[in-house]
Amino acid sequence: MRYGMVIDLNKCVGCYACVIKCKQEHFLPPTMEWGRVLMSETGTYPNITKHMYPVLCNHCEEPACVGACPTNATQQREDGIVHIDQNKCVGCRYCLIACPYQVRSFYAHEKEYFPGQGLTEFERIGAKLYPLQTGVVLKCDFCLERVDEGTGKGLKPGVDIEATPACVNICPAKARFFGDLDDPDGEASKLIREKRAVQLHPEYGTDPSVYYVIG
Amino acid sequence: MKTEAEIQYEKLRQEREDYRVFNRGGSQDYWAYTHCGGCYCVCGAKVRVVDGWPVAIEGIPESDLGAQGGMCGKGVATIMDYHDPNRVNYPVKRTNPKKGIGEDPGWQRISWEEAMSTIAEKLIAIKKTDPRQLLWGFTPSPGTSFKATIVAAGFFISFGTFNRAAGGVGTACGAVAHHIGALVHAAWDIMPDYKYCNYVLRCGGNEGVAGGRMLATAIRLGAEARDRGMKTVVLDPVGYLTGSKANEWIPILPGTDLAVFLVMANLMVNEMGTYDREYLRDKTNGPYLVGPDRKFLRDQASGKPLIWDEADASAKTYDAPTLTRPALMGEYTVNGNTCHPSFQLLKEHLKQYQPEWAAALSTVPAETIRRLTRELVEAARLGSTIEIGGEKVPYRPACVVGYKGVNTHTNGFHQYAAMTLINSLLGNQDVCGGILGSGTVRGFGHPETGRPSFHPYAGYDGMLTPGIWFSKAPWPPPKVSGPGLVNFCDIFPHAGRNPYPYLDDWDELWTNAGRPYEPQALGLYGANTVMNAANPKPAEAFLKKVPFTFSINTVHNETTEGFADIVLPECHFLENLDVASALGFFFNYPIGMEKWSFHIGIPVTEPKFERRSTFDILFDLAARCGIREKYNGYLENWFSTKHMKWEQDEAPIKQYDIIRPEERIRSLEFSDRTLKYFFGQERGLDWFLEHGFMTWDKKAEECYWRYFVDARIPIYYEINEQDREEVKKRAEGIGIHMDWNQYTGLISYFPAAMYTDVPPNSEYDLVAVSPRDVLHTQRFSAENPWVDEMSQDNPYTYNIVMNADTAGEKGFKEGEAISLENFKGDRVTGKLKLSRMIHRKAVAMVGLGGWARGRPIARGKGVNFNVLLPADHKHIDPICGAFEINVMVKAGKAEAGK
Repeated sequence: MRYGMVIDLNKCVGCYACVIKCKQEHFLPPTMEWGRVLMSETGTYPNITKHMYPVLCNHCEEPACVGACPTNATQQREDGIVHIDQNKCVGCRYCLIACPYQVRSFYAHEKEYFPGQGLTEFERIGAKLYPLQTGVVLKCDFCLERVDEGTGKGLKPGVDIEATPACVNICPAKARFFGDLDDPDGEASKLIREKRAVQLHPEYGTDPSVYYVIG
Repeated sequence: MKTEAEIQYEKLRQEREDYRVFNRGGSQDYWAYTHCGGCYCVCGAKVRVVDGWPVAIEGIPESDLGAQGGMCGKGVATIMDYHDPNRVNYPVKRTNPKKGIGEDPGWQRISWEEAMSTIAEKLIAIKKTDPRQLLWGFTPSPGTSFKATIVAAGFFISFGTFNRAAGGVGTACGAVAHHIGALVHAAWDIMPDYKYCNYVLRCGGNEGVAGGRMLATAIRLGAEARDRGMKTVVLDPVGYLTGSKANEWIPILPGTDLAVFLVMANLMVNEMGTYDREYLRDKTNGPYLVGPDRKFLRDQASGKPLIWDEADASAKTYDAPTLTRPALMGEYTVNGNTCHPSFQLLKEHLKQYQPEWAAALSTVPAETIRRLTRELVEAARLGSTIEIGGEKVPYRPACVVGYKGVNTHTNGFHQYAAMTLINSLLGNQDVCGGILGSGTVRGFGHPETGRPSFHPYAGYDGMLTPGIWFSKAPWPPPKVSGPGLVNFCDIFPHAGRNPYPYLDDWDELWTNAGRPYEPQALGLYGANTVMNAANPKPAEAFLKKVPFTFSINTVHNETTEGFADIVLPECHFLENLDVASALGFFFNYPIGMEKWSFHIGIPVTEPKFERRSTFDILFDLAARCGIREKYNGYLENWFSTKHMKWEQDEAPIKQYDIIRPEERIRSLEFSDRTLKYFFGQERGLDWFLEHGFMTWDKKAEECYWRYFVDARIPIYYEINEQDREEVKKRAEGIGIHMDWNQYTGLISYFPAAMYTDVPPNSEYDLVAVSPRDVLHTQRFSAENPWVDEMSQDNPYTYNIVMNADTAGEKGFKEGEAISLENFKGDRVTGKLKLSRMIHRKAVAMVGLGGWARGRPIARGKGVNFNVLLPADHKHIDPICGAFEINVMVKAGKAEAGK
């Protein structure tokens, strides 16, 4: 069992729905993004290609962050999901330095979405439903609460919406796929195989569980 | 005796009672169906509500309206619009008598009674003298119910004023696209038939990537088509948007697409000889005979245009039962007149347009134009058919498509008409795989009730006429009249949305017209006129002089702060009941063979503070102004689909199905009746509350209706020949001097005004353009903190984008502050983003840069592109009134501190 994601860059249009939905789903504070969209251009005018890479935690098979964490706050589950136990994190940020993909964030202090105007009801409800501690490192957890709750109901992540990460469900281009990479018949595995999806910077040796279909 | 405040409280309480219907049984955490109010697309949506507050939104997998469970980023972000502490919660009035850009209005909270009675008093006084003194505009503000424009427009039309001073929709709107869309597709817009199309030549618009039209639906369908192997070639000065998802990006100088289109048409009809003759013969006015005066030869008795029948070598009316072989080519003599089928004239006319000529104008190499033409024609599979839903229909899986970049220029009419001509030559319009009207304009209704239904039909001269239209009816052609409207849409009969009165020369022209009356009041539904009418300066000059302005809005903006006397707090779509959004195909009906999906706005939570729904506000105001009977009539006509047009007097109501003139029902009752009328007594509001939306299969005759509707479309615009002299006389009479040669039946080349503003090779050597951004399209979303955060991440949004090679030649560096200045000295500044996916002569920025105190997140973000646009009659298209939205500028390093 190894949960992973495939992002088809041929389909992605860089609309930021995934990034915003992630912030909404987890009630993330201002400026914190567990997903981002990286952009670049290559080529010679006028034959240029613009690249848009939606990035998130790669939930690496060999995660550099887990080994760097002195308190075991960052843990890897048996299903491959790498997550952070906020109660154990002391905010040393070694993991931020260790992660070669720069997809971790340090939540320094509480901020308001409308500066100086107080917290909105959205933020207040978020603090109740999805409490985030300040002084700790946070990152994408493949929506493990959705995955766990969904599988608990007998649903299949990547197939059933309730058991699937929010960014996968919301993508208007249907560019994201989620599932067990060890299941050769799963949609994600098939895409990796058939469309020769690649990992970002495999040379780092962390064996990411997020793959990209390029071109 | 109740006090005024008590009476008002009672009224509000009654309205709130309506909303108790939507209380979900006391649950503290639930999901509720509604639609998204992020833009005109109005996708199906479901919303998570916790403790009465909406906290999450997503699409509906079972609905084809939208991204089938997905949603665009802007739609997802609407949750934060709802929670914005800067929203308008109570009626307010202005205490600062001074009006103007940047003025602090000094808002003071007032009661609903004071607000409504003040507005009513002004309006009643106006109505007694001349209703035209009341101007109006709309485009919903962030989070409002977008199609409430239907009910808002109806209020003003019922009042007796067609004086629409385009308040929201402005420079970027489809002045030509909607007009020709109506004439050719009976539709508001066009879109490739993504499911079957194999080749798209995209000329601006950015739909499917960043453009707002059918945004989430187009993103989904476009991605699916790319995955299937559909080839896309993008012809656009900006490549970093749609070009980034294309197989090929070809940079072109803005406003020169017309030259390329004309050459492509010439190559097809005169060099390759490959075009759909059957389509031209049976579905266009190509066979209509044109006389020496360039007007149609008409039957002397009936006035109908004549066609030469090759079967018996005689001229017959276009609808003669004996007509069998209409001639497309040749020269004939009828009643002593030498005449030609219009296609013959067009074919000859096109010969002057050669690839090398277009290459010099557009920078697109001649061989590339030839190649694109070949690719397009080959991909279109002329002559082929396909079986869809049991019907054999033509199969033409290739098309040309464009929007803003094609239509918003002074040559916009001919440019858009030339693009459309290519599709006509391919015979791909509203057939499988080609270019479809968007949304679907022919509906047979729900299979059990046959409602709602609407049908395009053959009208004046046998030409296609929309069965439903929102704005001035494009066909039958309105008569030239006026000047009597402040937008001069009476002088220009084919202009439905030109930028007047917000142009520099309006006051002078109005004086020349003898000032038929003075505008006394302006009513705005949403809208941020001063930000998007044309250029803020003339908009300010006009708005300052309007004695009384009221606005229905969710947030304050640059226009309310600068110019509104009263602002009424509107419900956000998440707290609003809106049946209007389901009916009106502008950008929100499923495309192609995707299922009909009927969504309504259902409040997921009760309205907070003193916010009220637009519908109930307008019902109230209509009653106070004494126009409720007429307003009810407009609503009866529209919602029963008896007469879905602005022009109401033509259609006296014979039977009332939803609302009678004397009734005083509120939005809740009206919505329930409408739904029951459409779907049966058992499927009213309660049914929708439980099930959320209605969906049913679409038939091939609805989607691919072209050969099922006996109507023709123009490839020759004879109406221009009819109107030229009268338009010229009336326009010149008040000092409007334009290139009247554009009033020609033959689609022809005319340069866009930006290239005539400055001498060739002047220091103004860059063309400023403003592409749409995926998070800032079809609405103002810059006040949303999530949108703002993404916009700060995206280097193409808040910055000025310039070609890296060009910047290098000018000595500019990435991130440097630069200024852009037009020939009139108008200037903007911004930080530079270097790109190689933009034409070397273009410089781009998203239209932003607000200053309102009530929008603190948006304030000062991005660049206000509109500042650069020269705003007068020299910069609008003389036929449809499209505004020239590109301008030549010079770039320099920004002065310190600016």
